[in-house]
Amino acid sequence: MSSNVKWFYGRKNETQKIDIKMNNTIQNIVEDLTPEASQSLYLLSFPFYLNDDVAMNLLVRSGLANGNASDLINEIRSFPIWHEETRRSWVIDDDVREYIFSKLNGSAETIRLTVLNAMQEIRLKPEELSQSGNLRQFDLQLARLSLTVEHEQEKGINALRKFFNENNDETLRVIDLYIDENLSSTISHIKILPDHLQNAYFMRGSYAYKINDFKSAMHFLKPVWKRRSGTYQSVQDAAVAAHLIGLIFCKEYRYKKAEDAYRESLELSKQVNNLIGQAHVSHSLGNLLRLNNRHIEAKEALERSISILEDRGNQSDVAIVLNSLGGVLRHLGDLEGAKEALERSISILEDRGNQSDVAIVLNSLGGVLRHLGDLEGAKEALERSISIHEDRGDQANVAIVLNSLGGVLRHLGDLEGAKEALERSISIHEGRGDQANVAIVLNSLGGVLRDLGDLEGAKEALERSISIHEDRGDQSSVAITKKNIQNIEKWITKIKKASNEQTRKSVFANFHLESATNLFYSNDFFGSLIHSKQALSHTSNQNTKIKCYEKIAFSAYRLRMLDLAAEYFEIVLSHERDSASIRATYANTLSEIGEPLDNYEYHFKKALELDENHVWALSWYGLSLAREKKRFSEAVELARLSVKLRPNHSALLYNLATILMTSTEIKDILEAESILKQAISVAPPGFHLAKIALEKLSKTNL
Amino acid sequence: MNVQWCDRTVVKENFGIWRECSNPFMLVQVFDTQEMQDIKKWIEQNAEPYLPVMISYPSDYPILKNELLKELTDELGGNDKFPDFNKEYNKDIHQLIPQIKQGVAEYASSNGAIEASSITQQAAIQISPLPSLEELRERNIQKLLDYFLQDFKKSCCSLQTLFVFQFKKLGFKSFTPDFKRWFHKFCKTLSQGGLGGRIKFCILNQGDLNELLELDTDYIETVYEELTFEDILNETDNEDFCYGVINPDKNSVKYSEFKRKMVLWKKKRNTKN
Repeated sequence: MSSNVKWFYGRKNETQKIDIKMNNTIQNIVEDLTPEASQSLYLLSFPFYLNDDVAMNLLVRSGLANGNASDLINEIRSFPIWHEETRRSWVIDDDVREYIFSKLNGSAETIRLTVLNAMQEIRLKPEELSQSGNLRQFDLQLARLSLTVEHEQEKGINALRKFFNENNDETLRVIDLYIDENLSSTISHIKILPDHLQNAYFMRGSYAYKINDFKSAMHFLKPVWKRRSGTYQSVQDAAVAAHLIGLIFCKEYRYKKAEDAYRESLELSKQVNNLIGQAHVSHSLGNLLRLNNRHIEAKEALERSISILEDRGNQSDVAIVLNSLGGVLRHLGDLEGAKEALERSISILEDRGNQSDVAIVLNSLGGVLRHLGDLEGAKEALERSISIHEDRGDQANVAIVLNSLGGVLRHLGDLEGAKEALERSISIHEGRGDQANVAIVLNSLGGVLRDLGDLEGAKEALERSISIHEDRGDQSSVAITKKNIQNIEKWITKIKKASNEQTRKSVFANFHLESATNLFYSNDFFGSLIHSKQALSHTSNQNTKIKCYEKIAFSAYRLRMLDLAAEYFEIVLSHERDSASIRATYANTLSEIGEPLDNYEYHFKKALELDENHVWALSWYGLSLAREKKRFSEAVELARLSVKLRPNHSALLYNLATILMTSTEIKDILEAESILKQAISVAPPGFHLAKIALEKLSKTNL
Repeated sequence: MNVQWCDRTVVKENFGIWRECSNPFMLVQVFDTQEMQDIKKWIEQNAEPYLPVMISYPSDYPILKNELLKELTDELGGNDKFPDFNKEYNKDIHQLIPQIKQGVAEYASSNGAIEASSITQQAAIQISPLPSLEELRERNIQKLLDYFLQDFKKSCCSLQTLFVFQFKKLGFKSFTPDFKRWFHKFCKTLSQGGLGGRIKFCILNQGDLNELLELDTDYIETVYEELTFEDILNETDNEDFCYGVINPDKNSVKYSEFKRKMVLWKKKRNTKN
């Protein structure tokens, strides 16, 4: 396995023929030396670095020097066949070493071994190395030399592994080089890797992963994982290898394979009781499950990771996993939980002075606060994040957070501010040549310009976004945007046709009202709210105004802006516009605000008068009674009726279960549990409330 | 042995011009390790009025930032004009290194490893692993550098210093990106730190200079491996010897081959005399 072919790293191209003229010159020099000096040169060509101490020591220990080691070294150094490496060390020239190895009939293992033994002896007396500077340097070259002697390879690799654990990039690079010089990379005939080979493959694979050479990483890590022996170290390494392979699969969007790798890695980490390993894999698994919209499982994995890391006092890693958990909780609708996780993460990172990560988590927090309706808080978090990224000169992240800030400013009604933020974000992404993100932000800008009534500008932004998506072969988001553009074009034509200012205003009002309706039904309640308000400002028509009030009330309700919703429902009712939905939602709004039953029960009754089968009036009425802890059986009856009228509706089932859960009777709780299970089985994607409730219920001692 | 750099008139002249100018950086691409060593010696002898500080690293040995700083301090200390390296601090860093036992597991820290499709996802999972001790080590190295700069300013402010770096074998490009970034920053900080005009850096590199161009300079030289007939004639002043050495097909000879033959020839000539 060991050969003298490859271990002149950095030497000329291997295919280059040996330079005969150069060899003749070297031969002349060797012949010119005294026989003792010539013998010494042969020996001194083996170590990679020498200094006078080591060189003399080697000559003495090998029996070549009879009290004249210093003369021999001087004689050798009188020819230009060596180089100073550092001030303290020197090395025989590669040409000369190559010549000498060719004369030594193949691998010259005997001499190598002599040198190695002598060096090992020197190492046992570090005081003799006092002048040689660095023990670390000596040990590294000892390990490197061991790799060139077949039966010493195992020792050499184990020694390198110690350096490898320093986790210093430069050291890893050089270790990779040393192993590459001496170890064959074909092991196809070996079913179970001997420990030293597994060790070597592990180091090369991990390094390849670290420098993003995933193809090599896969090549080296797979045998570490699949062809491990049963020793403790091999299982531990296999666990890390499987984890890294999982991460590579993830990058290739091969999620199923990634999950398998993670799960096996977890299993292997458990076998060797490596808790930190389990924490890291659980974190990766959590991220993977989250990407696959398996949020409940993701949450479990991340919580497992956090719990281990907390036990071990590994706070900085806890902070990172908390950031991931925040994302999962947000998807699960547990916004308060998400906020808490992210705030904890920020607090830990701030304690550790890790500003760049603080900035990233602040961006996540901004998103959560926005969904919680705390727009000012969101704005503050995002502006802080931007300021940190700016201080660090991290433009890419500035642009990303500016996009989020644009969204928040839009929701705050500061459309001009939103426009400015998005335009800045686009300009940075453009400057960095990041077209994919330019397209995404252009889409947001199109929305804001439409909100502002700048239809031409909106059209242009959306068209540019489409063109970039199409250039990149990304068709997924093109269809919806095209439909939006068609709609905008329709309104541009109508506005152009308007003969006077009055008509123009009326067309604008209709445009905004239609946009509000469309956005409401595509669940963009902020958009709906903004456009309703815009429509209101353009119209003088009483009928249109009432429609606007109604849109504002319903959008505000969906946005949990309950006071605003209540205010506008009242306005709607005062204009004698009435319906079961208006009454039921108004009543439920007041109930959620915490008003006493007497203040809103009338509206539930009125709603049921208008439509006795209005499922939401029934369900919410029941829920409100339960909230007030009044008339339990009536509350259950109302909710049961709603479920009977529309079976298999997860939210209605959830409401019924919630009412039952306020009971102290075990039979009610058991029924609640079974209804929750039913709700979960019919829940649409994104509806997680039932799962969370069931989880809580299962933790309660009955 | 009498160490001399064989005649490279143009490069020698340009070095002289650069020594007098205000640009702190000179980059020299060298193809032969023997010649690299000779240039270094030549610069050492021709650095005046600068104090030369010579640092050499082959690419098949790891350059640790703290070790490079130590090397620099040792070199400066060797000139009796620089205070001892902050030995305690350096020891601390070495003690810290073995503590990083979890090195391997830390690679596996998962964040940042999953590609994200949307901006929100990207931002949410962009955090890189936080190997805490590694971070601590970097911070300590920064402190060490601060100490070095402080000491350097105090002790060398009246001096003019020329740092000569040699990157051998695979050259500068083979080092890790982290080290390369650090090295650029180190050179720039030192050249700008209120000592402008009094510090120069000559970087001798085997392999291409592309990754050193960030050190903005017009002084970029390439020294090829081969010497021409004229080059060696200037050096030896003996046509017969030169005809015997030169490769007639190319009218040139490899630097190290010429150097060795010349030494043998001179030895033999001296013995005869």
